Amino acid sequence: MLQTYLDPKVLASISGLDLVAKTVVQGFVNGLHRSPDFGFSQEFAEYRMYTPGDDLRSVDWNVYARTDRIYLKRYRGETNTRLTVLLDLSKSMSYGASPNKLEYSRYLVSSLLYLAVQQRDAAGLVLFDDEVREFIPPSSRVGQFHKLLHYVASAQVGQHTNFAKPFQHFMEFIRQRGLVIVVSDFYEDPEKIIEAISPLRWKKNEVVLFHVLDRQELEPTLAGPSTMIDMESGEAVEVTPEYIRTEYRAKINAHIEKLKSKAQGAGMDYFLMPTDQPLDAGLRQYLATRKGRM
Amino acid sequence: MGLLSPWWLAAGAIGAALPVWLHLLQQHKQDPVQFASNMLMERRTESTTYQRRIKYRLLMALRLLLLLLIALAFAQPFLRRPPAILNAANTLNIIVIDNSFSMREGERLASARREANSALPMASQAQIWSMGSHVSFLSPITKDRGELTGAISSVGATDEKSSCAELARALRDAARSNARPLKITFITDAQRTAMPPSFSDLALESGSELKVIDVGRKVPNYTVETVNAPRTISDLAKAKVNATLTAFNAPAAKKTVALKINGKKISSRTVEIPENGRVTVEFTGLEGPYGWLRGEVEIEDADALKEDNRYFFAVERADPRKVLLIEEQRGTRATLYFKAALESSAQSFFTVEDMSPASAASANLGNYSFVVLNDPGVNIKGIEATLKKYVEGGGSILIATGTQTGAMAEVPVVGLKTTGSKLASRGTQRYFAPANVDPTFPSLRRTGRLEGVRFFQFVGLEVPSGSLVAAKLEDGSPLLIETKIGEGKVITFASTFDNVSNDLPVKPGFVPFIEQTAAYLGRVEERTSSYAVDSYLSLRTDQKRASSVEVIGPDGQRALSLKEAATANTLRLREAGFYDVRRENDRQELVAVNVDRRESDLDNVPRENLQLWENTGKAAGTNGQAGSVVDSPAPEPQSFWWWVALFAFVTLIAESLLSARYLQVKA
Repeated sequence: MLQTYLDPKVLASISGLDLVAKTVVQGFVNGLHRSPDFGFSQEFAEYRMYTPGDDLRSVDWNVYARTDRIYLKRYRGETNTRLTVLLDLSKSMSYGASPNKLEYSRYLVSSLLYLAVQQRDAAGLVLFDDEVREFIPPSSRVGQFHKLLHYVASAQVGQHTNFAKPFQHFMEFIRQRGLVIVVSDFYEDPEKIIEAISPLRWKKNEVVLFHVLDRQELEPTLAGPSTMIDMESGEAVEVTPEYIRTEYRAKINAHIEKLKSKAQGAGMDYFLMPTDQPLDAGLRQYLATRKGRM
Repeated sequence: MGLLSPWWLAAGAIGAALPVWLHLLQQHKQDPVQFASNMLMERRTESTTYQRRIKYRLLMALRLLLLLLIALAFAQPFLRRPPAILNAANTLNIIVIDNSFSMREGERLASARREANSALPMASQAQIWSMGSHVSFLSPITKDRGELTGAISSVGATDEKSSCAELARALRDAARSNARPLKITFITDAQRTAMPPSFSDLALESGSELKVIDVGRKVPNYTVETVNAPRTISDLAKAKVNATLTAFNAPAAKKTVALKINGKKISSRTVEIPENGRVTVEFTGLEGPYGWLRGEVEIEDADALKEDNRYFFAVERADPRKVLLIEEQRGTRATLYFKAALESSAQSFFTVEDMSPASAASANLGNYSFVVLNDPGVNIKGIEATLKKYVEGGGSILIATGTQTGAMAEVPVVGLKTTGSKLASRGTQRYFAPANVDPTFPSLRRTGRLEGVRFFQFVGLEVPSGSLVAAKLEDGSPLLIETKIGEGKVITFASTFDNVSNDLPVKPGFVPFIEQTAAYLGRVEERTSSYAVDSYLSLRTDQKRASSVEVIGPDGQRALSLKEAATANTLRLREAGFYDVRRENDRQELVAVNVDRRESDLDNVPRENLQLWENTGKAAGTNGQAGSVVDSPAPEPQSFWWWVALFAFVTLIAESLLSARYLQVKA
């Protein structure tokens, strides 16, 4: 039943991104996501043999009394993180039937932001195309979520995509490590994309790439020979149905695989999000991955 | 190859531009498709367009072909082939021998046979025809010269009249049914009278090659053209026979003409026939027994065609027939006039008996040829039932209505309602003149439409449905009415036969009126005295009744087979002479048959006219003008639009299948 409401077409009929975000996130936020670090908390994690240099405050003296061995009692620590979502506003994001890629991305971004706010994480937003259009630094203040949603809702597509320039600009503002989510259709050479994004990893940020594509981009069909007009450059290319059925599909699959491979090689997570796929599936996959990392 | 409607091909060429536009122009017009990024797109125009052109060119070619074929079919293409008459191997030779009556002259028929034998083809098929008023096939289509020669030898002279139009019609039918060229050799004496009035009737089918061999010659000839003799007569001494003698292309000459009855010469005259003219000879008085007499008028001097010097006629000698005149006041002027008119006719053999109604009641009406009621009044009521029965049994009555009849509510016997006697006033309307006189009615044939006759008194009559009004007065009142009652008939005259109510009895039309009416009511005029060869004799009046008719021909043989004797309605009179017809109840009739006298005119058709006829078969294929002379046959156009249309239909099916396949691929 819930899946029905997470269908992108159903979400498109819901007015208000906050409501969309709540609808999507509901069912997934059953607990706070765990900190990757062990710390002070009430949830026991494991025992570990003492090694020199360990903090003596973690020694379980009761165990020592019973076994005459020194064990460290480790607890799962709970911490807040900083989520920054980078949303691509290039013109190609306006492609697709209802919802188009930008609308789908709005749902996805707002859902992620809502998820972060619910966990009392600081959430921020970067809107970019070939420039950084908007930058809202991560914050956990009250009203931050609605401020972010306002920018997400009012985001309009620009022109071209240039990953290098906005990411270079974005690097200058990062002071603390956190979670960086990039939502884009990634129409760029995968090597250049990873090259532009990978500096984020150097600052120990978790980077997740959401590759949003319309079904027509993955499996396009043509009734006959057609002239394809690039939405960003306006370039016209005459193609045939045979090419679209065979070569193009192979190319887009190769592009996806290459991007995925490069991302994983750079320690990033990569998720393909076709716009006809329910949002919860993507979030579930993401959260499962996060869980596996912890 | 040629085109009968070349403009259609031009229209088709313009129409062919449509698929060219659809295929060659439309294929380059591709709707642009907005796409997110062409980063992964590569141009594939050359190879794909090439493949598409290969496929669509086939479709376009089919569509072009279809349009051009349709245009070509409408343009009516034809091929010029050599005329079929040039194809000698397939030619059918038809040799036609004229065996009409005129071929009896001299050696014409023998010459015709010789010419026919010499015209026989050596190897190709041939057929022998004879031509009179009808065409007869004397042999099958064969190469057997023996059979063909035998057929030629069997051609004998007939009494028929030649008709070139009939031959042309038969040749046209033969050309159509055989579907191959005809080579016709027509051996004839080429009489001018054999040619039809319209030359177009002689036109032959295209591909028919006609050669006319004229074996005739222009020779003088004398003939008995017509004989006018009474059909039935009682007093032979009063009989008058008029014969007309004619000279065809002949100088004036004295000729002796004899009248023969049953082969016995009873009278002769010598007359001079003027050059190319006519003369009439009259014989008075005949001799012979009761019954049918075989009469004959003959020119005794021999000439070129002796068979036409005789003219046959038949006369029946019988006792005079009685006519019963019933009137209430005997000895009136009407009786006087009527009897005088009826008995004065030389042709008539009626005698009139007048009686009062009371006397007539005891008379046997069956003994009378017909009954006349003169101004019947109330006294006639006593015998009205008898008269009605007489009419219903096949009798005839003539009623003249006068003042007594006008005083009655209806005319006796016939039952016509009267509106009283009408008199012309002395003021404005002094008399009534006849109007709307039917000259074809038997009683009125030779009365000159009763012109000049004045009617001062008549009886107004109401005409019931089914009655025939043969004459009316100028005010629309019926004057002469025929009413059928049972098997008989009643003629009602709205006035009387005296010279008080009208002046008809003193007018020239009165005697013919009475004579024709008597012949009509007495059923004398129904028989014709003389027939021409090739005319048809009616054997039965009642088609539904099964009765046997015997006919003995001029040769003394039965002219009808047993089946024909029981069923045939008509008999074609093929020979000149006497036909003895014996009908039911031993009713015998002698029919005299004579040759059509146009055969006696031995004048020839000019050779130029025959050449025009010969060229009709050749000329029809080129300019369609019959009679134009051409030197060589022109090629015949053979239209093949039907094959083009068939090919277009096949192309349409192929185009539909191919386009359906493309549409399926697109879907």
